[in-house]
Amino acid sequence: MEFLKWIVSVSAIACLLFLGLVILSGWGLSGAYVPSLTDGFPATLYLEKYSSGGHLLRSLHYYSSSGLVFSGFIFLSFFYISGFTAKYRKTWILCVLLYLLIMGSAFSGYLLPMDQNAYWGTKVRLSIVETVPLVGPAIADLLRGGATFNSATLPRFFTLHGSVLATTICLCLFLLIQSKKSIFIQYLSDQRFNVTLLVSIILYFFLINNFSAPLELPADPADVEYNPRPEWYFLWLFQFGKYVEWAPWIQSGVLPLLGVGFLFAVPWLRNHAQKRRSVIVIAWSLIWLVLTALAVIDDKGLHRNPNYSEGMALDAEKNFNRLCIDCHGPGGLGDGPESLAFDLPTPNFTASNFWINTDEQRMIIIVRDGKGIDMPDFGESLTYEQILALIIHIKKSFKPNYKE
Amino acid sequence: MTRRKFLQVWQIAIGMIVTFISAPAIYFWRTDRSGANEIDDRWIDAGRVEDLPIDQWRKEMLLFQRQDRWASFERKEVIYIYRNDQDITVFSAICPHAACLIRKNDEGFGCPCHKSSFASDGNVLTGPSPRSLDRLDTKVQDGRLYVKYEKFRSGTNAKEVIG
Repeated sequence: MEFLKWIVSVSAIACLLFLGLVILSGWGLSGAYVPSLTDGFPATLYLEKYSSGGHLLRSLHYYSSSGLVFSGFIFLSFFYISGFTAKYRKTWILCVLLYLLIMGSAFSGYLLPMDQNAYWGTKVRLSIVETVPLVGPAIADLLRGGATFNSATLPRFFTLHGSVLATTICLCLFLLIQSKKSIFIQYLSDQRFNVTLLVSIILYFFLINNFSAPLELPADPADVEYNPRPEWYFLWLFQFGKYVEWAPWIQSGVLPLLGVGFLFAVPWLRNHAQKRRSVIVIAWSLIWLVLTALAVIDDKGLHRNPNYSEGMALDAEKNFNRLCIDCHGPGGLGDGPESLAFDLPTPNFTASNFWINTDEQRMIIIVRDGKGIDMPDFGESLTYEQILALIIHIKKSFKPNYKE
Repeated sequence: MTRRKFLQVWQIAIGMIVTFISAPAIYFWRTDRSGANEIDDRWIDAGRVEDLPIDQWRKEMLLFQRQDRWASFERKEVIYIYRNDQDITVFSAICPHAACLIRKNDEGFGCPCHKSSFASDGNVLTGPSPRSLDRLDTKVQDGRLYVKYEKFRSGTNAKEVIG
């Protein structure tokens, strides 16, 4: 019993902490984010790559939300096992509601970076929403602001994520605190516990700074090669959908209704033995694990979707072969067939004295604006990011003793 | 009036007020839909008919401008074209099941998301797709192929135009 109390309490505190981190880092991120089909990705890229604290904020937001989903699950499971649910009905209902709202935030926040993963994942999940009996298409259209992705989609998802759901979550939290069941956070009055907590928060900050929130190439609605997959905590539902393909409403209607109905009914169910409750939780966790594992195994043969820098590197290689190779040559020696007609020699990228006189910044300007009569300007056809990737590609392929 | 009773009445009142004040916002979200200002100019030029290879599937990208509310967008859509001596078949690359993009394979087409597969005539071979591939209307004018690009609701048996 002591152990149950302890884990309920600790997971509740973890949830509160993660929730606080998610909300505060979200405020930070919205300082430079623009919810728009065209500007959503550039704004995210700016946050990740060029702003001073955006990288840390994105990591915090991303990993804390995953942590929130995980610790919320632990909290609800052990709250249920502990059997306090009949005694604290209102608290349980509010906690379940909070968890559902958090899931909704995860759903709506997924689209905001507007990279490939965001676009395709949301698209597929909205098409699952569309299969909800009766109300599905209406809900999906309401979220999108139309029957397909359009200029109101991002503003709507952003408003839901950062305002509607966030406000409702705060309201629920307020009611939860009002219901004065502070036994869940009783450890906060313990000095030793507080010190441990503080140290772990500081460690978490340092740790998280070394990880990056995923970012892929900007969304391309015409990319036939992309393999859309949902976030890890929705993988089980995705996998489950494969087994009931003949009746998609089971995945989108019956199953969620049963699950949510069960959660809300828990305090009024006949209170069977604690052992039975543990078995239910373990069984569910096992089903979850098996379905998730099956989803991962099913995807083993598929190529991994490239992240942003990998994708840009592939793009740069293509651009080099398309735009540069005719003059600069396949080996970067400056011996391409076109270069024979030039009066001035084409630079040799493999010579170390070339790199002594030329730095990255100078090369960017040359590619963008051109040089002399022979080097054309690519400022119109390539974006800044593409030029940057092209120069990294050239350095990597040809510069002697190149180190990252 | 007891305190309990007062609280109940108060809660109902709050609920009603919230419903009323949120009604305009919900009404707006419900009725403001894309496509309202769209000019119905859907025949998209897909290039010269002569350039299409005979008896061969070809993946083609349609580029066109569409107006949506205040913004004008460059849209990029994928289609599959097949030409034989009599006529031209055009399929939208959007899978009718969950709107992923289908790929050409040996037996016809396949979808990477839920493994639906289609024969070359568009009919479903295996998988969850509720209907065959969406055929797009075409017309030939002055030796050029025009495609009426439309999107259809995914996951339904009927072909409902949505944009």
